[in-house]
Amino acid sequence: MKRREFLTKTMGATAAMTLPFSVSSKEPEHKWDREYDLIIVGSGFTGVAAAYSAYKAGLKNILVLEKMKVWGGNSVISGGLAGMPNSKLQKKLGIKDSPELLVKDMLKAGRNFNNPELAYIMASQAYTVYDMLIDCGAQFKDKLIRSGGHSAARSHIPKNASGGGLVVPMHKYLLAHGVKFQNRTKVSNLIQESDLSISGVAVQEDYDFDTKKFKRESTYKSRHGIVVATGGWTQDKKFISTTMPMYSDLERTAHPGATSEMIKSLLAVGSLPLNFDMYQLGPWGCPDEIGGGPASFFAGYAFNESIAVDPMTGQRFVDEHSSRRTRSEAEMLVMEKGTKEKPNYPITFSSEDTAFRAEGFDAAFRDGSVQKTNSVAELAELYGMDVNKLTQSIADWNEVLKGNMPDPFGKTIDKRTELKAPYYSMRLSPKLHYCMGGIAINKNAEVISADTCEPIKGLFAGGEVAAGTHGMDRLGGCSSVDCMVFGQIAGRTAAKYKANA
Amino acid sequence: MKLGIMAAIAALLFSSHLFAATNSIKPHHIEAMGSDMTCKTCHTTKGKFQRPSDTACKDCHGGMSDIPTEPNRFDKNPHASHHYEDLLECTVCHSEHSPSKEVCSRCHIVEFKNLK
Repeated sequence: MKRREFLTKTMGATAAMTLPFSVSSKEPEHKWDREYDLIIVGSGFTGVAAAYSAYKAGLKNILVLEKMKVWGGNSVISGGLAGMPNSKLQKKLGIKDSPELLVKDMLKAGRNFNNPELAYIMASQAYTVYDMLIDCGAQFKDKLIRSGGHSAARSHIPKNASGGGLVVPMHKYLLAHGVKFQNRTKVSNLIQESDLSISGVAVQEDYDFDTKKFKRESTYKSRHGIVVATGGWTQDKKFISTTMPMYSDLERTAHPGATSEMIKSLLAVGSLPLNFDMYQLGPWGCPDEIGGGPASFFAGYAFNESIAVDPMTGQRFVDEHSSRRTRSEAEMLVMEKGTKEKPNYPITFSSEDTAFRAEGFDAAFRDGSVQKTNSVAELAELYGMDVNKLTQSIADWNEVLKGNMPDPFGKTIDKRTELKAPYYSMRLSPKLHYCMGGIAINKNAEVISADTCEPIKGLFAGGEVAAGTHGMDRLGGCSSVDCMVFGQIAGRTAAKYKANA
Repeated sequence: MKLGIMAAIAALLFSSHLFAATNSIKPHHIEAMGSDMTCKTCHTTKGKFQRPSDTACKDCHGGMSDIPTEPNRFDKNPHASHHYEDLLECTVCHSEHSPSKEVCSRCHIVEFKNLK
């Protein structure tokens, strides 16, 4: 059943006609095929965190729905970095940090488009995410890194350097505690009652994302409302080219299922949209690999300890450790000096010492997205650079490292690793990475109505599908935490909500 | 009425060995099972013909972590990925009537030579 068809089918004949998205003036005519205490849509960071907190709050019959065949969406294919001030690990390592400091970094990156209340909730509850993950059996490396735009080393790295290292243990913990997971199930509509509350979902079962075919349509009732944890839609070309035409042709980092069905369903029930023209670009993108792969991880280290250059000038062009937006914008200007067919891709490179410490380096080098050169001359030749200018840029950077001259871009240096041959290098090209926009939520993860600016009853959301925490742009290692903090809150709020029991 | 007849023909086709003749069974299954290998071996649900759940696979093979797999030349093990570990349904990667395809190959060069 198409969205519109469903709505008209269930729509009441009288008063409801003036409210375009309401469905009935009395009790709904549809009968439910199944009933649950709580339905969570999406099985990534937000979904599992919501299921965890709802389970802890005492809900029994919890269902997590997933549209795809595989679980965990973008969360499990991410690097899984998590910026958590005041975690037990950060305290153990003796790193000085605070939620206030993280909020300051987030507001700067978000250029104050953030909802500061949401940003503070995320930063101040981040340590609870660490405790939840450890409780579920996730493991972290015994080190923290300072990702771009962060003023403290607070990025925790999953032991296997993948978001799967966090989501999978949680998924297994939840299965062991009776939470049900159902994949290949697409939610086609949120079901709204005459009082505008959300009571359930209409789904397509045994849904095949590739062919869009499905076996059955059903309706599921959820006594405690619906938690929407469906992430972003950067793979939805039409939605991107409509909201931000300039980004239409960019490569994307998301998995194919990151499309716009649920954001449209949220809008259809009257949710308030925010910042729909704002998207994040990943400055560590590499044109020589698919998505945000291992080369992106290497780039993070090269940005931190080394430099990036414009091959046309052989010179640096940005603080390589600034926010993602600042770096991506600078990279795009460099690329535009070439042609559309042959962009002038910026280059980042590092010494062997840096490269060998970077997660992802082995795989990136193996796959050829990161290349080795044994001298400045070889490096210059590989990318058609002027060897004298490149030599000068490297010499200048080494002087900065020694403290003999200030960094011309004001970069903060954590680790002073001499930049010398052999060099490991890669090409850079920003990729469409994250939807800054989404629907508005409040501090309880309740979805806000566009009509009243008050919560829509029985509708909760968190993570990428919700906007506000990060503003115009977000820092690395902050989406995972945003997802899990507001996922937890959504699960708790839903557990307390009980309108249609 | 017409629909009814068509459904009856379809049901007949699906329940007989005729269907197996048009949808090939992979040699390793024939080798292992011989003529015991029929549509019903995997398609266990009564009534309507459906995509099998992986219970049928697991009854013979065990779960992902029970099945020995050889690492590829990059030392990666298909049944223990960083992203999904052993949570996936068999049919995410394995097909019986068409070539199997590793879900990881969407992003990575994997070259699992023994994929069946």
